[in-house]
Amino acid sequence: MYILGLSCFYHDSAAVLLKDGQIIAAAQEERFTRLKHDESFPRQAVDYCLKQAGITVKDLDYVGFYEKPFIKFERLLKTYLVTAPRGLFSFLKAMPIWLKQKLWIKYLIQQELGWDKDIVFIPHHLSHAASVFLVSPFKSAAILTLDGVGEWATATKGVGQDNQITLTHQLNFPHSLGLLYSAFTYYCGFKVNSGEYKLMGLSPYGKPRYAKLIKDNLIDIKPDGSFKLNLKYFSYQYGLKMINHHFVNLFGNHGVRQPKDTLSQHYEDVAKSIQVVTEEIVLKMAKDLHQTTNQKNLCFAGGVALNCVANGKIIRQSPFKNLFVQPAAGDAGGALGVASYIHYSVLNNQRSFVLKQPYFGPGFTDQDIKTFLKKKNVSYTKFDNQEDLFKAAAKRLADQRVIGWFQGRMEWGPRALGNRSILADARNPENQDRVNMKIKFREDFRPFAPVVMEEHNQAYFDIDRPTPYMLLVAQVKKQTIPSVTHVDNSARIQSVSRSQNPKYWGVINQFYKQTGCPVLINTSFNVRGEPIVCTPAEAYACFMGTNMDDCILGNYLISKKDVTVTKKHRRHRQRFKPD
Amino acid sequence: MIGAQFKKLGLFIGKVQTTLLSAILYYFLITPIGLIFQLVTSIKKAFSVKQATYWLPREPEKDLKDIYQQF
Repeated sequence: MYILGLSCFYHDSAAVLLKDGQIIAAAQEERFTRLKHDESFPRQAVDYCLKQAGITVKDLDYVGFYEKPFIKFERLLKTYLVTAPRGLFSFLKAMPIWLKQKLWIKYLIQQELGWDKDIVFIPHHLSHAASVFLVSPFKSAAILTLDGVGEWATATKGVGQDNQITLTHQLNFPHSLGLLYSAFTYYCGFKVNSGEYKLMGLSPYGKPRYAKLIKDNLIDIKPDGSFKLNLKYFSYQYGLKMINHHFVNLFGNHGVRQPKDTLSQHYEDVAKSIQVVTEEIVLKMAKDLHQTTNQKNLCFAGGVALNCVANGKIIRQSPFKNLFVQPAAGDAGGALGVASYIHYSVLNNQRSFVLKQPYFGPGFTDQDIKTFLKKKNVSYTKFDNQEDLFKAAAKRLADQRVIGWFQGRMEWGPRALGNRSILADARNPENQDRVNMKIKFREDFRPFAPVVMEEHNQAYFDIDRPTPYMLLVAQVKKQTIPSVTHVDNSARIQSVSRSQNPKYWGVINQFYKQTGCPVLINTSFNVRGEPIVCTPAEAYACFMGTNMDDCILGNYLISKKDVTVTKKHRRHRQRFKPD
Repeated sequence: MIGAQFKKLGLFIGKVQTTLLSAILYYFLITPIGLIFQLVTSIKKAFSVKQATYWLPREPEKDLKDIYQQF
């Protein structure tokens, strides 16, 4: 049985294909269209999923969409009624899109796919809940979902048991932790629905001196973590901006930071303050959920579940024994949620799948890579022996060369987890600036994440469990990896085991043998504003357009010294709008 | 060439028309109903000290035929 799950028309559109409950393929549309956070119908992602399974649309049994559009429309209309007459500009922007596209989603999907059967629609937060619980290793678990907004709900909680999910409570729009965090993202000069992780990365530079101000004025938090926002300070319900002048004035005369302005201590303190408040809410919700459900496992989903600092607090300070967050915890994950919900909960099939690795995207064979390199007339070295490849890569990393690492199938979710990664030596303090400024061309304050061999995870970090999806932050124990240690001595860790990704583990293992350090810098294979590379051609273009020293595509090694970089190559990054 | 220019003009007129119609809809339908709605419904804007929780009970997922509904 084949089930296709879709999420689209808001941001991060994606497609997921299940065969008998197992993920065959999963990918975000942005990786194909090369438009970051692309929201359009995931035409190419669907084509890829079907191709990967070797089927056509006619072979599908069900197609599901990750939310209920009419309820969302009802929320929109009621919000305009409540905020009239202030919502004109938002109305002018939103209404044509709804009237022309979003109200016709069912027919649009049928038309795009050439599908004449009905489409399944399940609520947005149920999609989030299903996307994490139904692929988790737990038979039963408490479930928490937190994001910007779905239909009405902005947060839900409940329990999953076997193949069924019961969400018992919710918080409704406009009271939203995701939107509150986005409001601060906007205030600090980052892009909404995109720059939230930058705000999280900025927060360790600051002090939480505005946390009390936020709690006294912007939000009322109950002991169980539920909250209400003071809408006087926000304009996202009726306007095109997240916040109004009351919000800006509350934080003094600094104003909204413009993206190109330097980051002053004020914005760092604001970032820290909202991060602390977010952690407090998430932690209170988790503690209360544990008390009311008596479950030992927690499944967490929605955009807020990508806040790995808060996740780190859950594992250290909540009573839950286990935490599971799947790598595409944001809206893209809704595609996985609706497909899984149809297979397991609606059709009442026994649970038969646990998500143990994130590699569900397109993959390319050595032959594909060779054909491409030949076509481009690129000199390369081919390694027939894997160990030789690992040794050569590790030697280069130890020699302080930065390597593009392109292997196997692309990752599912926003993080590069070792198949579309840029790797460098974590011991060299200069590598943070070097990779940030000369390779990624991104803001200098942004930290890099470490990848560590799973067997050395606890020796290097204060963490008691594997973290394969880079979704937990913990303190660094050793002072030997400065380029992945943030100013507050924390790191956003990815641990990797040999069974999970033998090639990735293999290169780190060789680096460990050569240097005694089982940790590398792992950052996504892209430049600022560019979706992570998907194909060998995109990897090559990114390699040529940056100061990366080497690029390893499958078993092929390309060195910068063997290629001629032209002005055209150098213009690569100009193709992408900074995010 | 001329066809392309006409298309551009058509799109521009379409955009102006949509904006005008949406503005009329907003000011002559949404705003009056909205103002009455705001008068007759008491929207609790203030924080509630007495309330123990802001969590709202969520209706259980409905029967299976609803999965095909968009609402």
